[in-house]
Amino acid sequence: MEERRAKKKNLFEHESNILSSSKVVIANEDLTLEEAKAELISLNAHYEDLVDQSKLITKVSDRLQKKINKTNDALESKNNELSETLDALTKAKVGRRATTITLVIFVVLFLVTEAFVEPPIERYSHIWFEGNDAAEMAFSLGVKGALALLLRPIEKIVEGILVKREKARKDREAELLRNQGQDASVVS
Amino acid sequence: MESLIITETNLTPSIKFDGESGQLELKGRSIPENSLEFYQPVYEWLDKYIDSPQDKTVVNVQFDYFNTSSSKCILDILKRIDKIEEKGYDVLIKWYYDESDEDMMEAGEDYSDLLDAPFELLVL
Repeated sequence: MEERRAKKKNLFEHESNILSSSKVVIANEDLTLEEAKAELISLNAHYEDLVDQSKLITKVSDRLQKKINKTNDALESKNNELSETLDALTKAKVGRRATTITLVIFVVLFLVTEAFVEPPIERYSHIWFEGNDAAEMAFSLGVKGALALLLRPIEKIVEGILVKREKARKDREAELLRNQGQDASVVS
Repeated sequence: MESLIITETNLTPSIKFDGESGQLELKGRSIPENSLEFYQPVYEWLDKYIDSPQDKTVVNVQFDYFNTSSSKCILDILKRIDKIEEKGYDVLIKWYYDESDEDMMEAGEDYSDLLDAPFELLVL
């Protein structure tokens, strides 16, 4: 704080010196009218100079603020783009894993169907459509087709679960980073 | 008179003041932590130069960016250049700015309004 004050003081050292010497002149009880007038003229010139400086510095400061605002907006926009890209990337990654898991489920379902579902289907189709081979085959294919159509919803469910897990993991990581940042600022 | 050469950094501009040719150049970015500390040698050099300047002094200013405190220091430098002109010597301030940098052009106009020395605004 003291250092910052010193910097501010130094930057306007010339102006501060003018003010100090003017105070000395004004404090002089034997000051003549001529001397007072000369001091006033000098102070007037310096005051004009100071007003010009203030105008310039204010304009520069406003422009800098405008630049900072623009940069912040651009950063925010880029941040959003990055966030969207990361989400898309996560979704694609999760989608690939979901497809793999679904494929495994499909293989298991196929094996289960062949081992446990196929015999009852054949038995019941034989009972219900006795002698009609075409109807028996259509029934058998229909049941298997219905099972195959379940794969897409299964994939969606698996993908949903994986996306939720991925989001939770990222949230945990972000929380951890925030906590580490807070700890670091407390230490510093 | 010895030249004043200060190398450019990420925070400070390059300064090339040649007392023999009267060519003075400020170029780059000016965002020092302590502007006065950085520009103090420049002030000192100019105060000496004002005593015996060249017949013609040309100041080339080409800033990319400067902070508020630097703006005050730049004005103090250009005011010293004004003093050379007041003494009857030829002076020319050339303010260069990038075509896309409207802010830097306006800053040049603001400085120009506060100075008596001839001031040229030039697009890079």
